[in-house]
Amino acid sequence: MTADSHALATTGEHTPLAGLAHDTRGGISNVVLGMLLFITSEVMFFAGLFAAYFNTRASNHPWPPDEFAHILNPFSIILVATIILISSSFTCQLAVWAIRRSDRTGFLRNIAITFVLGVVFLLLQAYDYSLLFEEGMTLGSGPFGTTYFTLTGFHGAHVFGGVIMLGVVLYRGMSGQFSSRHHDAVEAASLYWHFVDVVWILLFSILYFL
Amino acid sequence: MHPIQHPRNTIIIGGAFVLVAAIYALGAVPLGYHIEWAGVTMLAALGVAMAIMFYVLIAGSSKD
Repeated sequence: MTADSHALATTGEHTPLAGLAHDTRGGISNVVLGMLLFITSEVMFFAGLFAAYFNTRASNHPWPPDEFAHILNPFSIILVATIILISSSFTCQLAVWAIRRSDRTGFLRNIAITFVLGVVFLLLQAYDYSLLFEEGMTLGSGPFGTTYFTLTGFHGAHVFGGVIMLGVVLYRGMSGQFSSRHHDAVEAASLYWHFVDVVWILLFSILYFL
Repeated sequence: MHPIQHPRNTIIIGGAFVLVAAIYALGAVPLGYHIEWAGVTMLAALGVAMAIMFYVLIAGSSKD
């Protein structure tokens, strides 16, 4: 790394040009850049899943099938899980704001709460799956079951990945590796977590209300 | 900084694709077709992806 590029990576100033840019001359950290590119690809990945869902739905009537129409109740455990995931996005952002002003205690508290909320969401989703299985709805229950479990399953896998990411950030934070000048991993993890949250809001709305 | 480099222009880039998606959806009705939601979804998501890519390009470029 040259001295100039090192200076680029360590100035740590947030410019008006871009809240995530880390140099007054322009530029964006490698970690945040990589995460943004990854999220871009993930947007198209989930778009493909949603498109497949709409295509399947258009060619199958009635939707949902009569035998499963009563099962998908939005005002159930899944609503609690949704509220928990949305809340976790707020606590995640509070953690980012805390580390930006070097408030390590606030950062650790909020990132730990986000981590726990993510785990609780996964547990609630697993419990919801068990309820659906008891009602006879599985991945093999025709196009409806296949699309439902594919969409929610892939989202759950992404939440699991995000929880691992948050766990690493929490561990590194407890080790004192982050400061107001060096916290690119926190910014990147929060971007991913917000993305996962937005995908769930779309999923929940489309699967349960549309 | 050139005016086009302002991050707010990402909204214009993404919005253009969303506008095309809206035309694709709403245009089907007067023509007597069903709205094809799969295509609308892909176009709208492409708008989001393009907006992020544009943001990366301008935020990552040097101001020198």
